[in-house]
Amino acid sequence: MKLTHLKAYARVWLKLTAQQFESQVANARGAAALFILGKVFRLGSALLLVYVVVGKAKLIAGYSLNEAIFLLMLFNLAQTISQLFLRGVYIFRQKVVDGTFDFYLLNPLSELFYSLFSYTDPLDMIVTTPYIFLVGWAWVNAGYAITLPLILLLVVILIISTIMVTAWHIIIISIGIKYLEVDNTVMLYRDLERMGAFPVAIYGRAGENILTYIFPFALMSTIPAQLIFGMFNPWYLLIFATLALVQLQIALFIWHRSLLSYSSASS
Amino acid sequence: MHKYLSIFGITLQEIFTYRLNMVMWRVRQIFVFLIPFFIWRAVLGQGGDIYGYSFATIMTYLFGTTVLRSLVMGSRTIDLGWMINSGSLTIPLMRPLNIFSFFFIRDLADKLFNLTFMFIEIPLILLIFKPPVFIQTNPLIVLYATVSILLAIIIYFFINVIFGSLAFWTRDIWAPRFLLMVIMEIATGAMFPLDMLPLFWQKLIFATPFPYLLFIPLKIYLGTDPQFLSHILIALGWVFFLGVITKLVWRKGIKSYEAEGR
Amino acid sequence: MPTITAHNLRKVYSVQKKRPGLSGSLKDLFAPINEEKVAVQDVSFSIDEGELVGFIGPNGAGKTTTLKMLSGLLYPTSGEVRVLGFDPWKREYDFLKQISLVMGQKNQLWWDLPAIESFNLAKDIYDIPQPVYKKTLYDLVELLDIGDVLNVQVRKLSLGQRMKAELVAALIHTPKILYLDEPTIGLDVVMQQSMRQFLKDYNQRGDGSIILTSHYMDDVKELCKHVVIIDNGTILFDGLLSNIIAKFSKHKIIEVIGGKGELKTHKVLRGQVAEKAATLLKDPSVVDINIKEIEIEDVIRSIFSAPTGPDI
Repeated sequence: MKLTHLKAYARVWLKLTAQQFESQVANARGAAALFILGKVFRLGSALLLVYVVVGKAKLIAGYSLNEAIFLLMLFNLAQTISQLFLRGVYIFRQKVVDGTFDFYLLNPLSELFYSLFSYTDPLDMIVTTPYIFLVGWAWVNAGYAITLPLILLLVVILIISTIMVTAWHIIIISIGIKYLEVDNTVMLYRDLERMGAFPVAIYGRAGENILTYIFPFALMSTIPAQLIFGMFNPWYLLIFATLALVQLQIALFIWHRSLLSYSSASS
Repeated sequence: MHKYLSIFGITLQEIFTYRLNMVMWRVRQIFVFLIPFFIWRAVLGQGGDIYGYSFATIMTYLFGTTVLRSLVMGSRTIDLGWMINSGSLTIPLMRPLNIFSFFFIRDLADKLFNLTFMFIEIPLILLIFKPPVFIQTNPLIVLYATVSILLAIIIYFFINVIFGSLAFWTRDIWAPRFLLMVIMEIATGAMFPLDMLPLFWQKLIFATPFPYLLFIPLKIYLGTDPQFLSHILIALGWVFFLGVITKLVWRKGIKSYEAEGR
Repeated sequence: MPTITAHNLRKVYSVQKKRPGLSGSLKDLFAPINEEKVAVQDVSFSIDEGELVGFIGPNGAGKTTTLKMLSGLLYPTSGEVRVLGFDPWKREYDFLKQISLVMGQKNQLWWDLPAIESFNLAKDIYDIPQPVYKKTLYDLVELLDIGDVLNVQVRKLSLGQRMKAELVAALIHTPKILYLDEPTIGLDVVMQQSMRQFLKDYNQRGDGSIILTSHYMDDVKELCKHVVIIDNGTILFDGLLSNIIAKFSKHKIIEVIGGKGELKTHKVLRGQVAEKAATLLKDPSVVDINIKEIEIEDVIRSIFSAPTGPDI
């Protein structure tokens, strides 16, 4: 029975994503172009910042300019991939207010699935490919060799960080259920996330620890970069994997607690 | 006059109703200060300077833009696009008041709210981060800075109305808004002083109104802008230019809005 | 073995009280006052398999809240409820597979896609074997007569067609229990009739139970044998409709409108309505006349206000 469930999840997700694409192509071609432009611009300005700041200073927290660029590219890719699947958060509030969330609850498939994964933007998927190439370029540019074991480890790190990111998004919508406040919470999370674009060592001991063990942001960039630079022992990943699963459990617990006081759109 | 006071009061009430929303917003404003702080400390903390800025002067700059942002960028006119799309623009349109004054008063309420919170946050920032704060003592410069800030407020208001008005013609207003936000992050000088950029980029950015929102007013206040008079005049020029565009766009947009009979 | 049992169900909400004015807002900010709102006080009932039950009561009575607790949307503050042997709150897959909820005008179909796409997806979600799916779909489409709009985008359908498609989506997995919250609200008279007819036919064909809430007496009169009257979160009457009708429908109301627009109300025994109306109409000052059933609100008011038993 579990297998057919997985099939159902996969088909539903595919349908939802295809529909997004259809409606974008039909209704919002111009908007899609602007979005891509915006994302490119955002990456560009982050790059500009790195060049301007680190370029002059030659070093940031012990990393050279090219190493900092590699870190930024890793961050960019990890951020895009995790946001890719979790865009449902941005329309969550609307779905609660207009009553669609009730249907999510009563659908045999998990309401978390619908709440988080149902708004995947095919555009993000298209943009991911050039981002992967950028990572590859920055990797070589930083002066390190690309090897298969390293790529596999990067994928493992990506999976672990995506689990953590999902856990945090579950917490965000738990807050949304209780207080009907999602948008600022998500943006706050994104503000914190942006800190991961730079080596986390610059934030001091406390900041570094928070961004590494509580939030997944160090995992998105600093740690994989350190792995490539030979500064990180891969066995530590076991700790992070455990941490990710613990965070997921906690998030699910919080989610179920919030549903207890759910009052539904109209009574 | 009294009706505008009521609008002011009601906007504040709206803001207070969503407590968590309010708190989150303020916390986010702190982060906009924090990230550049850490970056600059990592780069300049041990001494030295970049493009003429030392850690101390860059902190002053950062602190300045943080305070200015509450004043200049606090705005509710961002709602305009949504109001047009949902048809709720009709309600204030039907009221016996100037629609632009309506939006402007709401902006003022938002700015007041932001400033009030700043008074709590500034002592905290000063205590924890101890940025060197520069108090301008030359009253003439203070006057020029005030004028520059006022112009900045008006320019930003017009920009918001123009972008919001896009909703008259398209349902998708988030994409252009997103692009605008991304551009403004850099171009207003919120994260770092624009004179750090290579000349080519500086020239490009100065062709837009954005540097006049934060960068120029702050430089004038700090007394480090040798061309402040011409900058103020250019800002004035932007006010007129954007004002004309706003009026034109609005007039066209309102016609199509009313034609749809919402 | 009853399909649904509820014991002492209770649902209480904590609602913040808002004070007026700017100073009130500030006070709310720093020193909020929370009030307890009791939506459902203490509700117990049991429903057997195959029944068509109506929960009726005025707006705010607690019927929708009760329905939502029965379906698993809301967590009861206290009390117990069992549906098909499950605890609805747990929302287990096997439970959700067997129920369906239709809420007034709310859509669960995808707006931009043809209805058939939503049905096909339901097949995957509910794990319906292909032959069963085909047959059920065929039967429902025939019964509701929407064969020619299956491939039309839902957003392009008329309200009536959309409602029918919603019903197909709700019933495609042949749920054992169909919950309907205010199913006829917002529909015109013709659509209300067809909705009622459909529900009646559907209930008679299969062995599923139908539970609906409504504040229209007509819904209940047409459909339900078993009726539960709720007001202020408590059950005022739980039993057969025939009993209520026998008790309350003795009278009808005749409203007479005079030349200057003044309204006079007469309560008349059913058998004498035509006679009384004819008499009233003989008066030349009468401009218009309305003959109505007694409002559900009056029925309910009478139930708990008359000590010796309702007498309308």
